[in-house]
Amino acid sequence: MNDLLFTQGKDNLAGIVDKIFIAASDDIDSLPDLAAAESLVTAATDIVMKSTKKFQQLYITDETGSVTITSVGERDGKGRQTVLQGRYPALGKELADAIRLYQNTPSVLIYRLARNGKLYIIGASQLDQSDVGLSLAIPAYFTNAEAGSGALRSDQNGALLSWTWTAAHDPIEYAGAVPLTPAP
Amino acid sequence: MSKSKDDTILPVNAPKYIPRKRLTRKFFCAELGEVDLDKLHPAKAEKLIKAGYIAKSHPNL
Repeated sequence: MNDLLFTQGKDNLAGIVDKIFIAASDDIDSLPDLAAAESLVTAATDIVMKSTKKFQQLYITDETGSVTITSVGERDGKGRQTVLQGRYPALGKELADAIRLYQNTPSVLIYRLARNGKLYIIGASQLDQSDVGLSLAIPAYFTNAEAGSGALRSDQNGALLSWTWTAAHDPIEYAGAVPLTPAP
Repeated sequence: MSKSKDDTILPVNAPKYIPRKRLTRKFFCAELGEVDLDKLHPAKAEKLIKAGYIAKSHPNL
């Protein structure tokens, strides 16, 4: 076990910011290794996509995105379940087409925490605690898109999208860059 | 008159920056957010070079 301390006087904002990035697990050619087997942060190398593939960007309304991580399982066999969600603010064909593709595609998602600006991955796991290699064997699955038009003029329309991922550990800090143009 | 063969002169359309191995020319990073290497401000480029994401395509740039 390690010390778990806290530094006073530093920024520590809640929430997630920017967009969410999503790719089908099958479209990923290789993941970076962890910088060290004992800690959930990758080395400063990038996710490499298969030819013609890239990460897609998902806009979410500010202060609607969140990540919730809970312990699941029985004593001696516990794991961590992560739910990532965010609200897309407009009902219509763009949203409907996206949901249709999201809903049955095992995926890898990347989000950015407000507290430190760093990127985190769900859908990539360290299966062997003593090894730095990451695996795509446990992808993130689309859980729900609670979509609606709203009723009152002051209501929201659009959808609250969510993905769930369960592994032995929390999301992994990603020290690389997210590829936004198709791989050659 | 023969043309100069000075290799510091690059073709007009030559890319000024190259991403590190196997990274695409448009990417998102924690340091600067969304980056397009073909529309990159020099000040931002210096930060990305320091962080190791990109390199200058020519030493004299």
